[in-house]
Amino acid sequence: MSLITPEIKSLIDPVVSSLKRHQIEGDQEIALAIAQLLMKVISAARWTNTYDLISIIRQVGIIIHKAYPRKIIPGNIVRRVLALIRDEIETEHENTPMMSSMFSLLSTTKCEVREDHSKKQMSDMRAIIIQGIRDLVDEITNVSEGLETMCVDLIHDNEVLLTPTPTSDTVLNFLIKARTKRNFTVLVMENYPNEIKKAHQFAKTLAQHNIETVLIPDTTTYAVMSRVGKVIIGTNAVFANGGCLSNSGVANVVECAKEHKTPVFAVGGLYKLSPLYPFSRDDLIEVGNSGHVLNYDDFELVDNVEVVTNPLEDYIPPEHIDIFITNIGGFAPSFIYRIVLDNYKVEDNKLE
Amino acid sequence: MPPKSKKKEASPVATKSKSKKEIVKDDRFQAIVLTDSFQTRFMPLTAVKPRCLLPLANVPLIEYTLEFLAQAGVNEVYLMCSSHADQIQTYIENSKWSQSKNSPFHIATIMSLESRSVGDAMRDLDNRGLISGDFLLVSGDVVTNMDFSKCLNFHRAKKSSDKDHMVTMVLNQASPLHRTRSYIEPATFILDKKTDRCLYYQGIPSVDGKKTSINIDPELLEDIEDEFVIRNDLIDCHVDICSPQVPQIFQENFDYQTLRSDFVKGVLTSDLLKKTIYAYITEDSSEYVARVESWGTYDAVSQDILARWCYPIVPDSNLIEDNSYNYEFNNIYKEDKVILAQSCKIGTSTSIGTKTVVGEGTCIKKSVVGRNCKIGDNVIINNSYIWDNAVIKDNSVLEHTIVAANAEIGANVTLNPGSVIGFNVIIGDNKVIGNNVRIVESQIVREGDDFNNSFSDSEDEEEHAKPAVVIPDFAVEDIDLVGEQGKGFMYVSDREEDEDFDESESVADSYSGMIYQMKHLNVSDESIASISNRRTKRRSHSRNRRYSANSMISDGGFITDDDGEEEDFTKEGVATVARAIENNHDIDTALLELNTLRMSMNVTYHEVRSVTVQALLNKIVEFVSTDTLKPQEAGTKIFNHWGPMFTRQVFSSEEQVDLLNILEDKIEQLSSSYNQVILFLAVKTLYDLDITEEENILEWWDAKGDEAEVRQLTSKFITWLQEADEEEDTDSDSDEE
Amino acid sequence: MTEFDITQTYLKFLEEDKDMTMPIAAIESLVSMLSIKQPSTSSELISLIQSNIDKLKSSIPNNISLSAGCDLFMRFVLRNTNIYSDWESFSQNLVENGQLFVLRAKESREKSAEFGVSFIKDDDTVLVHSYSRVVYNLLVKAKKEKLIRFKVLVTESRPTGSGYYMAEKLRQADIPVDVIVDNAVGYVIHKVDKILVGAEGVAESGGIINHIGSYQIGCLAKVNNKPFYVVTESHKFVRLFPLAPDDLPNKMNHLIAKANEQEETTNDLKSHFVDFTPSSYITALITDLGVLTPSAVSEELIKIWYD
Repeated sequence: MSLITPEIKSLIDPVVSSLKRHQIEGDQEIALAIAQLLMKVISAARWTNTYDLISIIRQVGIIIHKAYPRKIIPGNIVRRVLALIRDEIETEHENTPMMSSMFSLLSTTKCEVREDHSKKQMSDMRAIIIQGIRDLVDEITNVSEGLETMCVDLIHDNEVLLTPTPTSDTVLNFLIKARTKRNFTVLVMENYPNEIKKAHQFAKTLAQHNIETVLIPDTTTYAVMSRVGKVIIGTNAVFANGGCLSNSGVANVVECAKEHKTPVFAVGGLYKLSPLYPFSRDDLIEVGNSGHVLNYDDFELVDNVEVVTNPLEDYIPPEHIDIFITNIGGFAPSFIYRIVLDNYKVEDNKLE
Repeated sequence: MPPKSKKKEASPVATKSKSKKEIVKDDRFQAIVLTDSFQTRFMPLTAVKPRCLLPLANVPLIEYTLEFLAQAGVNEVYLMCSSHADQIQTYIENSKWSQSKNSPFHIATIMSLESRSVGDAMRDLDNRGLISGDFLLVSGDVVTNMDFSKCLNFHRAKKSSDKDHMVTMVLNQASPLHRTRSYIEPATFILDKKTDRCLYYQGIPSVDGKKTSINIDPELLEDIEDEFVIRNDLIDCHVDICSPQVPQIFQENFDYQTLRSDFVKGVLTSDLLKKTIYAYITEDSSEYVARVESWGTYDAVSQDILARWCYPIVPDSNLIEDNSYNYEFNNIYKEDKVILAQSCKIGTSTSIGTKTVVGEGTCIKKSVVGRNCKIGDNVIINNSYIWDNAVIKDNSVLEHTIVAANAEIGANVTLNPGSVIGFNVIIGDNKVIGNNVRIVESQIVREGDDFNNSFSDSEDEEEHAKPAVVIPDFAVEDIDLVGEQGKGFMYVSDREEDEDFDESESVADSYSGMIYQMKHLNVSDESIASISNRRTKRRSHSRNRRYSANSMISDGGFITDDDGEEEDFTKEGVATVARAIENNHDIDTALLELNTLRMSMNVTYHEVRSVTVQALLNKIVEFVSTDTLKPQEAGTKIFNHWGPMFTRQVFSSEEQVDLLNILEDKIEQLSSSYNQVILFLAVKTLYDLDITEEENILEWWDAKGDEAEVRQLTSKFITWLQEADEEEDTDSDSDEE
Repeated sequence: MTEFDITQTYLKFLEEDKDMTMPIAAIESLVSMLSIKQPSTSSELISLIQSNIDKLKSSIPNNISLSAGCDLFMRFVLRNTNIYSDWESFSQNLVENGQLFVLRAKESREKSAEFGVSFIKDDDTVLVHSYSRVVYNLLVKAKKEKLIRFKVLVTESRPTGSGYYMAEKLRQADIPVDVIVDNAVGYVIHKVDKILVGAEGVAESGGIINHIGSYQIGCLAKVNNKPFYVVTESHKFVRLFPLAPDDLPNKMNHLIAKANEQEETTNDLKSHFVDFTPSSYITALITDLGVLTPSAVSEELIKIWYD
């Protein structure tokens, strides 16, 4: 903690407070907020060599993670930035031989060369990293553009699509873009009790774009599934094993889809991809306000019922998903680990 | 999820607005937090720590309030502190709210040490002139997740449409018997249906769910165009948005003590002050507002927080810096490094702090356990709240209790529902602590046990006094209670000590949140203004003091028999009659004085009779003891002279019998050498003066027969009376013939 | 000059250090061979290593993980001879750092355990098959460092009976453990939260080679929806791609039960002592490189072998 100067702390604290109070809405906003924060921290921090900078960013990552442990996205952004920094270091030291991790057993050469850089190199480094973060911010804001290139290929004419996640803007943009070339029907699930308003809003927007939209209750999923051609789900987070987190109720839908052998597409930006492994479902899902499930006024029930629980998310195992559509292309769930390896460094998986 | 708050940087806006103060209306949104509610419901724990620092689900109460204010976008917060103000100040200084750069608002503690009520605090506030615009008035114990911006918009809308708008009260819709609704000050609100304007407020006497009636002045209802709604299902969380005139109104009416029953009621019923009050009702079930003002609501709100009714205010959002709670299914919250034995069972809605050790076979359910606690083997903890560093040894059973920090409970101890174990208390092994017993570490010193001083109560002193001073008589620990190895004293609140009655019916705070367990309620404040009497009724003259629910219903709206006033009246009454006797006033004057007293104190004739009898008997005793007169002479003299007073105090047969009963009761207590004589003389005199008729005398006599010793002499008189009756009958018979 | 017997050296290493795994013992013996034989040219070095590897492989029946180690070593040498122009100093380096490899191997066991501890949750019941040092490390770490409370069920693991040894060691670490018959796995599996096994070797497809019975447990796990985790070190990855249990090379009638203190069972039982569990039954592999999906295994192998 000695690396976190009061200056840096004053930058971090407002973001931490707003995360704790759940005041930032939307995954994209959270990702952008963290990216901006890291930019500020890097500009403000003083470091003599890049490994110090890495330690500072790791500390920041730990603090942010503690503020809202069930949100994966802040950790993803921190790790992306760390990977950026480590890439920069590697391009500087290009002559070390390629060491496979398995050879780490036998190698005797020291891998980390800690040199102190000169001031000019510092400011260069800083500029490069900040530019890298800017690119990251661009990527996050332009997620939809990347996705839309594929939508035309994936959706056919006169198809019936089902989406159980009307809260996802990515899915919305995906469908709207597809409408420009294709004609299809969308079944939108209501997402009772947490997201009814958003579901209605989603249906309305789709209808305004001239897409035939049908709003269905969550319970009718199995009944309609035989008529559905494809299921499109939005994700809150994607893990290294190909599993993902989505709204509560989606696990049901994908099971129905598997039963009917209906293809399931999961859409999400690259910033949602996490190098972590989902150890246990209970640790990952956020549980929300019980007031949505049971009316608090009903005191007889409130007093006598053991537990009222309102999980907000669901974990979807990799077997239930057919393809992940991201802004860099479409991948099978079993390939996600590769993307993870490309964008993150193994050393950063554990921030402590 | 709540929208982004309108947080502003505290310092820049403040400085800007200060310079523009003359020109533009101040933009700062201020909040006043009343950390002291001037009540003693949480004694004995509040003798050591202020209420707002007591932990709820391991987080001090004040943190919840401050979180709410941060969410609401408040710029300045003033904490009005009176009891334990130093503790509150230290706490705030060390907390994250005082680090001015990162804190969302500017926070200041105001020492209002002289305040004894909410009214005093508001007057103090007015004197300091801190208020510059509409402000938010909350108490230091409110827990909420509501979206404040909606409420603020409502307030502003009402303000622009109604110029006289002064206060917006925030109320939560629940149901009349909801566990989080206060049983202490339940209230009905009468609201205009369309505009949500509050027309009338009436505090209901606290009863166990049985309602009484409320009286409404028809004039108030005159200017309602449409419909009005009478609501008894609202939780009043004392969150108000007030305009700057509110402190002034308190200043003008210096007898306003409480916010609701004095201020709101006063404003609404006042003819002069044409101000309106609106109520904002949160109907959305996901918005939770509650106030922790008694043990019952402490229990209810703790359970609500653990059951995630107040999301995102949940233990695992870790609002305090170094908390590390993690959520597990079934509402179990554990911090890091909790050591659980293999066979222990953690039930639903439980929270366990860090470094706590739980032994084998223990069951913990619906409870909050603090940090560093050591819980032994085979302990059953159900619905209890155990604060930091407590030790509970093997095989104990804790049911619905509170164990404060650093307390130690021995092995095989049973803590029954409602018990409160204070800070640092040690309970020895194999003890059973009864229902609703409160144990405190050391005797609490009280000043002014005088009931005439019922107002300037020792309650405040209790909170200020150092509990280390021990009353010499009680130097020995309450061994019966806490056991030989134990350390602690039974805490009996003032009111209980003032009355002498048996311990077995000890009047204690009703602890449990369950509705029908409340035989008696938590109403320990004595206030000056006794207009509305929300307190329990006691019939101090009845021999068996039963606290059944029925005894609480007010008889026909009459507000009678305040305990303190009762005592006052007795003393005063006896003094009055005694004076009259001494100074040899004539009967009319004496009666006049007595009547005036009766009307000012609002007592019944029963009392009046009692005091008269008492005074007369006192005089007789005086004569006898000073050997001025013999009992017979004394009795004759007094009764003959002052007997006529009773004529104006007795109006019906029942009352005659009542008088006789009073006489018998009191005379019985006199010395047995002459009490029979006195009784005989009294009855005879009453008969001679025609104050009591034969039938009533006989009725009174028959009620008990002649078993009592005191009645012996009188029995002769009775026999004569009965014979005289017969004679009369035969006379009348013979007359008829 | 005394005749250097690679096999004897190998067996001796295994005997001396109970904690050493087979690939490490192989590498150690090859290193000590180098120190004795002192090759003077690079081609001598390579051919020496090759011949010794062949000898070792042929003499030891159960040579899957052994060959993993050998192949790794060979590949490492080949890779690095062209980098280190002075191969003499290179071989010097190897010889001097012989002990270092053993240490590193133990560290990789630690690292695998570190990754795997997050899998164990409060009040879990874990099913374990046969004795595996990595699994043992993981469970002890969960108990001692993370103070998690859990229960363990161990299969007997006949015919070697190594389950009893595992149970004994777990008991010493204060972990509540019960031994069950191998056939009872189907009976208890609904009460179990997860299954942890070690591996002798990890095939390129992501499937594992382990003590006989693992495949059966894997099948039951899949049907009952219980996660099946394999804990292993990364130097056990081999370049094999078996499609069926029969594809495993060599007849394996004899398992070197190094840590087994029980007597050898009668050889009337015609049984193979290792079997192959295909990757589709495995939920995840916990290695010192992190938690990998079976498909990621081939990625690692590719990095070494194909560049």
